[in-house]
Amino acid sequence: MAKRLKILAVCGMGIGTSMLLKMQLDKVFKVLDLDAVVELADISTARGLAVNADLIVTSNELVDRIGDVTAPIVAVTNFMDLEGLTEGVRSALKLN
Amino acid sequence: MNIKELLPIERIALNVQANDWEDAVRSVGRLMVDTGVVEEEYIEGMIATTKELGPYIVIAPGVAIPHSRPEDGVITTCLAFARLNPPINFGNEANDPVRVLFALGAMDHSEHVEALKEIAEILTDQDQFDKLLKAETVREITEILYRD
Repeated sequence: MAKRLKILAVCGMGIGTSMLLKMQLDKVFKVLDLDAVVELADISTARGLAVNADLIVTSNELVDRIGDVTAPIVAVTNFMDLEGLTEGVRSALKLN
Repeated sequence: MNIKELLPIERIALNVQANDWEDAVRSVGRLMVDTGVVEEEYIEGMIATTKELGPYIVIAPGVAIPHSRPEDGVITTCLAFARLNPPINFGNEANDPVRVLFALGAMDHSEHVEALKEIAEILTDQDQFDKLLKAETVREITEILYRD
């Protein structure tokens, strides 16, 4: 079995926006049939937590604040666009 | 807790006129202060957070979810809803102008999760979202938002 992916959903405070992002991402991983756990982070702790993440997903408005990290980043503008989010994740994880 | 539990009819406002985005956040925040679910300081907290982090609270075309930290004056977990007329730019190029605000006051990381799920369901359903934009009364808004 493939290893479980660790996904970091990042927002300003780790309360509202990242929670919404996590909900949408849970749907995306179901569609992609991938085993992934989505964790929440606020912008101040994101960079530290990013070390152990396979993928980081955040608002387009926050992406510059995360800084340099190893994991690929998906920048989201419309949190309700599940198709766009799925494509973003698929492309960042280099899935076919 | 779901939308119905967190968003009573008293915290829903239509045809809110605002001069700018800060004014819009103050208007929706006022609904929370007046119903005793956040302290006055929470309003400025939501504005300060948006200034500090940028307009990332505009999560989809026409929709913003202003919020701040629990310790900024949340008394109980709550939502407030305001529909702006006319729509207002928040500085989020992709998603401006903002038409509806769901302001959130969260006590912790769990009480509001169910309500956020319901909000996401409504916003991803174009038909429901259109209804939210066109509803003429607060009652009609509750018929869309309360999922029972």
